[in-house]
Amino acid sequence: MAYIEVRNESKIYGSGEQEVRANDNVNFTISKGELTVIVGASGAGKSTLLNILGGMDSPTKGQVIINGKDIANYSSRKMTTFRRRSIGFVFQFYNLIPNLTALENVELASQISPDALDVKKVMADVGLKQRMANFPAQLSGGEQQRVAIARAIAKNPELLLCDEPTGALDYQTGKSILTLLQNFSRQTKKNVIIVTHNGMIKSMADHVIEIGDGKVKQDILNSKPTPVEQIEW
Amino acid sequence: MITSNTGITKADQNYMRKLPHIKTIEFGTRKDAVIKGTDKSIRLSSNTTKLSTNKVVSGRLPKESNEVALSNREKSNYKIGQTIQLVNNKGKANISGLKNTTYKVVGFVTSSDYLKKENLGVTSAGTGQLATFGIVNRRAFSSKQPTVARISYDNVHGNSYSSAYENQVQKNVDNTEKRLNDRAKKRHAQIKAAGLAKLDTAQTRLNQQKQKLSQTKNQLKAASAQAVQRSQLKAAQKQVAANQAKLQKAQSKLTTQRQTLTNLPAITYQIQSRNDYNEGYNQFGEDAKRIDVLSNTFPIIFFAVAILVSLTTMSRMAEEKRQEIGTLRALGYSKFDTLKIFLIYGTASGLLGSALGAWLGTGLLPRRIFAAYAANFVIPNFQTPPSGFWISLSIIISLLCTIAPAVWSAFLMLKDQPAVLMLPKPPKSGSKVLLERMPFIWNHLSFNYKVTIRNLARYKERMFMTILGVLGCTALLITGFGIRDSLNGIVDTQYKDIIHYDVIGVYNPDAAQNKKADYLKTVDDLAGVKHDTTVYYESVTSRPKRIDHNQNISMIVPKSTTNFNQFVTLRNPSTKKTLRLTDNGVVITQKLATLSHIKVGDYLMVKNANGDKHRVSVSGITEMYAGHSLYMSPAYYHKVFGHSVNYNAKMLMLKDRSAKNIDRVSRELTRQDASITAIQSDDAKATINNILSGLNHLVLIIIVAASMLAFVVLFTLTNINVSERIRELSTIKVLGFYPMEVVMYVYRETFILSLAGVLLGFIGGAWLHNYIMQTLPPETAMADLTLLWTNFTTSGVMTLIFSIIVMAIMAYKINRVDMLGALKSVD
Ligand SMILES: Nc1ncnc2c1ncn2[C@@H]1O[C@H](COP(=O)(O)OP(=O)(O)OP(=O)(O)O)[C@@H](O)[C@H]1O
Ligand SMILES: [Mg+2]
Repeated sequence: MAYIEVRNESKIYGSGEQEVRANDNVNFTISKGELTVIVGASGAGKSTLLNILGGMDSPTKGQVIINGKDIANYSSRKMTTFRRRSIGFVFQFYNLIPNLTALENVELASQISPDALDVKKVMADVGLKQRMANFPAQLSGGEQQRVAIARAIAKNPELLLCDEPTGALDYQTGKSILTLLQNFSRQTKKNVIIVTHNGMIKSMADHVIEIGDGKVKQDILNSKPTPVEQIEW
Repeated sequence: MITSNTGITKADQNYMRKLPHIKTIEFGTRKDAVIKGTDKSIRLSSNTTKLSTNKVVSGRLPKESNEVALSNREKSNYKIGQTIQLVNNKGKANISGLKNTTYKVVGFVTSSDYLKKENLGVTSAGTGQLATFGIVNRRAFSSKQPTVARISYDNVHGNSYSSAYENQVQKNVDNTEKRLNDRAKKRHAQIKAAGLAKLDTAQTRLNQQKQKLSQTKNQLKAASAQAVQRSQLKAAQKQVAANQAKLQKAQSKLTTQRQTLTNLPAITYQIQSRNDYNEGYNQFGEDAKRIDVLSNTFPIIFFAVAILVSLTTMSRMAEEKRQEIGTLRALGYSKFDTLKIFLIYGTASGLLGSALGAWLGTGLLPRRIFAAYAANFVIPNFQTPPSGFWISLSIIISLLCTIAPAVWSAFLMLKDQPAVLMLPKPPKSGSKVLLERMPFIWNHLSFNYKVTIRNLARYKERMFMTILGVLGCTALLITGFGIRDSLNGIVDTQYKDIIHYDVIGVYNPDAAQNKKADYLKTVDDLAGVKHDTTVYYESVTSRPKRIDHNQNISMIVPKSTTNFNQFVTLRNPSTKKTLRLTDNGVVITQKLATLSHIKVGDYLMVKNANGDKHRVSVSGITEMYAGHSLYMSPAYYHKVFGHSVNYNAKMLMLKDRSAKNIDRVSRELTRQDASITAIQSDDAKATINNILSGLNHLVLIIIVAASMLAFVVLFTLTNINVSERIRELSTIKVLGFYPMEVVMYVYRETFILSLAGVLLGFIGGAWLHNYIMQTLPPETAMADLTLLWTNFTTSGVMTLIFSIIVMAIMAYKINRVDMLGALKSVD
């Protein structure tokens, strides 16, 4: 049974001469529990798609059915509720609140979620047990991204969306972040979608969707995903 | 100005001309009357040519003895060519001292002697308060002897109201006073002596005649014994009897003459400075002082806030241009070139603002404020010359505020390498707050409050500014409302709780017995009188140290001290405990005590119209808001003045306390021959009410200004806060915070600061109100300093409403933020 179903989805910016089709008639389905990677060149429309899946933006046309509900035409308030209950988001640039400690950054998310996880345990899970009282400026990039992941996980979302989570990190750190995400997906059987322009990490996913020029170029299921540790790029 | 109750003789005129330091002296005559068919009293004065000249507004000055030029305020009631009929207090067309009672209006004038629009001064005519004035020819008066002398001195310098001027004039007046009093007494004695001498010779002549008569009588007796010529004898006896009756009549006439001569009213030559004889002059000065107080207090608050706001905005502008500066520098522009934009921008905004401010500040606003303030006065041509000094000072300050912070921030940035500058400034990182070190509190705080506290600690300057702005706003509102409440309170307390009498009818105690009896009978027969009591009333003066002019005090000696509280409640201002009049001291009013720095047990020096000084011991200080009064028991009066009280007034309490009824009663009293004047207790009420209506404008200005202050400060700060933290706000939006939660995330701190500001504003407002209400009221009045709790709630709630309105505007702005756009950019 499809957990996510995107049907004839288009996102069009502007009109007439200046019309930009960021997403152009996108169709795909994702099953429950899959670790999905969306790849594509810069400007292909990956972020646009992810934002629509995460209820941060509405498509111009088409349907986006998540867990049986079409979020395409949700009101702003419903979208907020949807994000609050069901979505965990990880950005390329962490977007932590500089003024709050690592722990508080995570609490920021957990305290608005009805079935949040234990914050300290989540911090331990991402390996930041010792750095909880530090402010973002006192943490390395990788550590900051771990805080961001912890913040997304702590809400106990159905769906974890990551836009270029390793974009600002070095190779080793990036790898450990991806491992974290892969483990999360395996352990919780929750859907994780990772957007990247790095085609090399495709092999870690159960499902790979390749986007080009706003359209789905390839949609491949991978029955034998490789653990991240074994992938080199 | 010297005023006399009788004509000033040629000899005395010459004497006055030779008083020291006199530059100009001009004699004149004046007489008060009532305008027929109204209860308005008018003062007719002879025209002046040198001092206090009258300015003709339309028409001309009177040339004939039956012409009059009226006050310009009467223009709406009379036309040139119309006649005006005057009557005496009894409504008869016969005014002693005036040749005519019908005058032709030939013009309208303004006079610096009458600056007020209403209640121009005390009079014996009509209701006791002078309503208007007119100028007549000298020949309109029946007596050639003048009754007033206007004096200008050659040793005074400086402007009116300057302390140099006022002090010197008062010194001259004090010096002259003694001489004039002696002169008046001497003349009095002279008249008396001359009269007595005449009476004495008449008496001796009478005595001689008496003696002759008794001789004749004796002779007749002897003759009757001899019993010759009975008929002749009888005729002689008859003549003797007739003669005796004649002589007796002459004797009684002589005795009454002697009596009136001994009771001859004292001649007074009262010399007063402008402050004392011209009520309007004094009040106008007091009002100007009030404006001074306000204008020295309020702008400081606005200035402080304006400086803070422009400082923040301008340095923020420089920060926003950070990357631009970096790029310019990288492209090879010199440091000065990059700074130039801030110089130009700062100068332009500073100059533009100053120009607008100068225009408003020297034209519109002063005119509005003056109109509100001069509501009680006839002050012609108000001038607002642009003040070069203040404008330049303001321009310098505003330029400093606009240029300096921008240039300074930019200058600090220029120290960095262009490459560093082109990257956005890293957001201020968090740090531990003090409260965190107190786990027992910190751990119990809800998450939202922890965040708020961290944010508060992060932007300390802004925290300070928000508090200051809100504090200023609340304090101004409290003061604005408080000024009004305090003055409103005066009227209520003064006339409901303290003063219960409505009129004091002052009569001449030395008037002929039947006239006095008539007067007292009128009082007894008056309809609508609740209670009346006999008092002694005298207007005395006292000059407190460090004040350059005399304070007028109403000295009241009630015949019955036991029921006096029915007419005036004497009570301790703070404990409200009733005070009793004792036999070893006087009770004086609160403001007089404050002005004179007098405590219970101290002495006060008072001076009567003749300049005689008496020292009284103060045994109590009573609550009173308008006018100085001094109350004493008859026994203590005897002790101080050496003779028993010669009661001269009736204090009346009316059933109907309306101004109309009080006027009616006053008129009936002054109609009596024995009447001197009627003093209405609500004279001060009208003045306070006039000030109040003037202040309403001012309070409105203060409230509008305070609201603008709150808006500007809160808006600027919240706006900066939001733009600086747009990324943070987008992040929490993405996390799923609802719009209100997002708004509260930034606004909770502003709200807490506003609350703190309001609370501090309560303290500041109470202080400011106290300060202003102590300096603001004129010297004869004081305000009720207590602030009503409603004032605090209104001001607090209003400030919070401003805060909420700003929050609503911000909520709108925050919700329109493009969260994706904000998150896309690089950190
Ligand atoms: N708000 C917008 N208005 C107009 N065009 C937009 C807007 N957002 C995105 N686009 C356009 O839509 C297209 C897809 O953008 P998108 O951000 O989804 O690309 P991407 O695949 O995430 O690229 P990258 O790997 O560089 O992040 C681009 O051509 C972009 O210019
Ligand atoms: Mg992208």
